[in-house]
Amino acid sequence: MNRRLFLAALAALLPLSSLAQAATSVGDAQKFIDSLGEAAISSLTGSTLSDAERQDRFRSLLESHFNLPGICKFVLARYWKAASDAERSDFEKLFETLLVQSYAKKFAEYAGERFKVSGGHANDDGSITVNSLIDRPNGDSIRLDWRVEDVDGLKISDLIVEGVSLRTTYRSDVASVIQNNGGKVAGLIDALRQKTGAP
Amino acid sequence: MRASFSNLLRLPAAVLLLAATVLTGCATPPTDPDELAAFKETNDPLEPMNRYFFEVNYGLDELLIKPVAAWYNLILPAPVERGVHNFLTNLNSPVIFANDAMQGNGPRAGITAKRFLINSTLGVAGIFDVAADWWGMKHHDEDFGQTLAVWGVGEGPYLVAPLLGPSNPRDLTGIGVDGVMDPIGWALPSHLMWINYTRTGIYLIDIRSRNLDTLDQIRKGSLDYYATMRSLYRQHRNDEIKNYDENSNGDSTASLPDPASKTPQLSQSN
Repeated sequence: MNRRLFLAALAALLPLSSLAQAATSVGDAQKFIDSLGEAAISSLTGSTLSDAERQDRFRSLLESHFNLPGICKFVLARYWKAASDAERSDFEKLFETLLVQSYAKKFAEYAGERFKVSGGHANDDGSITVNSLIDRPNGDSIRLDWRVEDVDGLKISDLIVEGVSLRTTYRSDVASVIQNNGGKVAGLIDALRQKTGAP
Repeated sequence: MRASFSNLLRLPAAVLLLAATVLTGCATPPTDPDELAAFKETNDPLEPMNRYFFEVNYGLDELLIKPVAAWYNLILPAPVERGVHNFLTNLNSPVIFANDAMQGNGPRAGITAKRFLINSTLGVAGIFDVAADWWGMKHHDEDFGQTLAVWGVGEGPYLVAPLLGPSNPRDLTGIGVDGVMDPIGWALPSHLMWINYTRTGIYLIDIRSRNLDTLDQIRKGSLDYYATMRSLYRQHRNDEIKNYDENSNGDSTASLPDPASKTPQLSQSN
């Protein structure tokens, strides 16, 4: 009898405990994004920073906080299977350089905008969405949503700016380049080398 | 306002589109499931024609619109630009109100109506957005393309319209209907229609001047600017249709548009 009671209690508690777990991880994800925002503002926005130094710092934040292999796999989509190991690793390197070159300099224009985490929820697929806002001096605010996953620690797998997903947009971009190069991933690698000037 | 501009262009644009459609023909959907999924996600059976008009628009923009917008930014002080922007936004309120109402969204229609009354009077003919500054009633946009989406009309294939840029049959129809609905179009006698055309011209320059850096950034960050803009347009429109309000502090990604799905999610977060 005692045992049955215990089991019943356990069964009743189970959903609760998994809920509690989900709740803490939403909080953890929010803290994670909050700390990234602080780190980015403190380390990337200095006006005395050289472009090269800013890019280096941006790259290390990108590597420590983003699930780059996962993002690359998503971006290459159906071409991931077709790509050789060398092509995959070339793509990962070049895509990262493209992100660094395209976005690091945005932080040079920083003019005191406030970054704040405004919400979050767990998704069905186990990832967590963290909502945040950037308040601009002119009163507008920009919506940034972060998709956070636990892959050996919390990592960002997508950034959604005003409803526009970074990885989805790059997936379309990359697919188009590959299609226009006869369905060959090598054509994409060439295009990325040309764009970034990286070896 | 986008609408009144297109009114001017609607007919030639439609004829051109039709002619080009006939000339280029439609791409046939592939049979391989992976290819078919990609074909649906891209949603661009008229890609060669669209790329052609994208290039034409890009050239026109570089040659004409972008320099004017850059000069506009340079010459006018920011508060004046803000005033022009507020004035034009306020003029568009009746069309936004009508679309709020047609989407059955009473609260948003109410906000649009109150904003229009407050800003037209206290805001000195709409030059100051006091409804947002003093009462926190922020502007939202709405158009008949979004109304059609709320009514369940699919977007149709991606189209790049001459001069108007990225669009689709649903949104092009919306632009036409908004133009017809706009009371300023009815109120002005024909010899004063130049006022409406001027308004449209300034409206375009206002939009472009507010996006100088953004578009440059997108072009520099992308490999295929055309494909990137195609994806951005669709994601952006799906986001607009969902009516996310920043003060509702919700999950804007709860129903993130699945790029492969034909019908956008229509959950209303307010």
